[in-house]
Amino acid sequence: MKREDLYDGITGIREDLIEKAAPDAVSKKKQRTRRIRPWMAAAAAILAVVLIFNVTTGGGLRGYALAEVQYPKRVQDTPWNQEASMDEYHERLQLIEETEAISDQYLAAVLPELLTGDGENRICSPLNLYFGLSMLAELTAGETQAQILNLLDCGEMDALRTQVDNLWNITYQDDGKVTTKLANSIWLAEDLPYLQEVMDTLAEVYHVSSYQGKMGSAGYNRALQTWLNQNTNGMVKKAAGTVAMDPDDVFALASTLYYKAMWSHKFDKGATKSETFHAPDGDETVKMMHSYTAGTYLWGDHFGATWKSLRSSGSMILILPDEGYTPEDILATGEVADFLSVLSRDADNWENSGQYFINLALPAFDVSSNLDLVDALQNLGLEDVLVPGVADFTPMMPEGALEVLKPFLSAATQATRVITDEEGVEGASYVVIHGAGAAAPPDDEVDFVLDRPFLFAVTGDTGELLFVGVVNHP
Amino acid sequence: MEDEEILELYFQRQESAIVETERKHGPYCRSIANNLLWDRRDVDECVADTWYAAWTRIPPDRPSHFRTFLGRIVRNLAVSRYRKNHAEKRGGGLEVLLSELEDCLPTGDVQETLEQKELAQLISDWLDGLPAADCVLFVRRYWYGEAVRDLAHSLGGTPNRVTKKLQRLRGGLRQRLEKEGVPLS
Repeated sequence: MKREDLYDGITGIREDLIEKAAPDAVSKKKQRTRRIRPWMAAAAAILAVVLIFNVTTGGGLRGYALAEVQYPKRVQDTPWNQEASMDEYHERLQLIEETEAISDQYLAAVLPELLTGDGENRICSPLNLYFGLSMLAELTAGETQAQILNLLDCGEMDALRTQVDNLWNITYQDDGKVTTKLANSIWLAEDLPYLQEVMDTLAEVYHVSSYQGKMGSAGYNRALQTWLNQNTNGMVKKAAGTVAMDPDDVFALASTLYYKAMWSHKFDKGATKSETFHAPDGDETVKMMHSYTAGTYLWGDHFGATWKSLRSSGSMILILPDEGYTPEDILATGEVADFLSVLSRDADNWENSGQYFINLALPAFDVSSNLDLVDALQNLGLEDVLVPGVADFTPMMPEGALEVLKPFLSAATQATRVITDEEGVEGASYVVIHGAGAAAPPDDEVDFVLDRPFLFAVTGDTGELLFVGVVNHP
Repeated sequence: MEDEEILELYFQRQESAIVETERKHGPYCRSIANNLLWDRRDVDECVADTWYAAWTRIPPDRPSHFRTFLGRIVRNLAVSRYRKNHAEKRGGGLEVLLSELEDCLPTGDVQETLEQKELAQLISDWLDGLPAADCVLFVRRYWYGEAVRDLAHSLGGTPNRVTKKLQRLRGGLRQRLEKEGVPLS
């Protein structure tokens, strides 16, 4: 092969790759208001975080009904919209350049805390929790807020607002091909006095819709459940059906993330077979998908990993602990959080990697978990917000109401479901590869057989971790 | 004028098709030619040849992405002109690009006769697997031929950082090409 052959090969690359990179994007960007390019996705994931706030005494204060947020319309990615679609893409690319990645310190704290469990599947969305906690920081002050900012590894509220606004805009996609929808809402007790300024900030920066109604009533609970189902496309219906506000609750925050994308290269359905998966409590028969492609294999001290690309989006990273290690073992050492932090920024920076032919066997899975976050948040250093009379909600409501109500965080749950099949992913994850531990594989080919508990992570095209999970039962 | 309307002029064999093409896509094609050839006369001739090539190919061709269609013609004409100039000891931006691309050439037992179409598909697949920003960087450097300093300016970062990034990307492509040289079983 000559260098001119390579030049000719590059000349023939796909048109969408050429158009996306067109250098005239910058000048076009200046002529348009901020929009985001519709994005194609190859996986779908859903997550809901619900934080419920209680009071020490029952309350019956007057409330206000607030408007629902209108989500931005994205240009549909169709052949007749190519130019406008590309404009959005370039604007988004510029915003990605300006946006800081979510802190390593936050990931290192949150992932082991949320994903270490009892042998069941556990899934979380670091990004969605980040939004939920950011809203909570907006409603609090003093030491209560400082503890939240410390967990988020963010020095001050202004920086956090900029970060959240940017993250929301680079993540939100709805172009008819790829869907990444983030939605937030606040549910106020009827007659609850609140401060307008903070509600305005929630609406503007966090895209929060506001509702008011009678806490504990069947109708108000149904409204919250309907909101959760609508914003997660019905994927977490079972978990959403259990969400209920108590008559003593003052307000509830709800945050959802829905993601759907297709694999860049689908699995061949004809190659899928029933095979054995060695779950912690005994063997199970699963539908195992197979592919054989050139790709990147990476390894750490106690795991091997690879990823599978999602079309016009991010990828699913699969992490397989070495024989003798469990997902919890490698989460506890911090190496998974470190690995994901590096990979979500630039895979080139992970030293132990190489190009191999990868013989991938991945179980088609439909996993869900419903995590109670209260203990986890306490372990992560959010102590004041959980204590009546100590939790500082000064920005949220007038002083007189605070003295009477003494609001505190009484419940916090996170429901997540991720589905993969030959076509794509619902949810997000990393693909785990059977690895050779701390040494490179001995030859050109790697068998990546995910037939025992593994971790996965799904990244959006910006590299942000949308979903991370432990699969014990596919 | 919309691309569809311009294409219709080609199909009606109206010479205004070329005028409209130059008006709308002239700067785009000229910037690619300029990045590759570094010589005003060569650029002018290359762009003029592009309009002629488009006139002879449409019809029967009806490109779905007219701008990219023209860009490919410019690139092909630029490399032809480069070969001619090279024989006459005249260099250009293309010489720099081609020397950088030598880093990507696989070593060892690799298929020598990979069809251009297969190679393009393979490179597209490799680009698909890159983070979006890396993909854009590679295409802007090696398809559009933009200078490193301009890329650093428009995409952020220093020229040194962009150079190192491109070096790593070329290394990644080389590895992929070498991998493809291993026969599938």
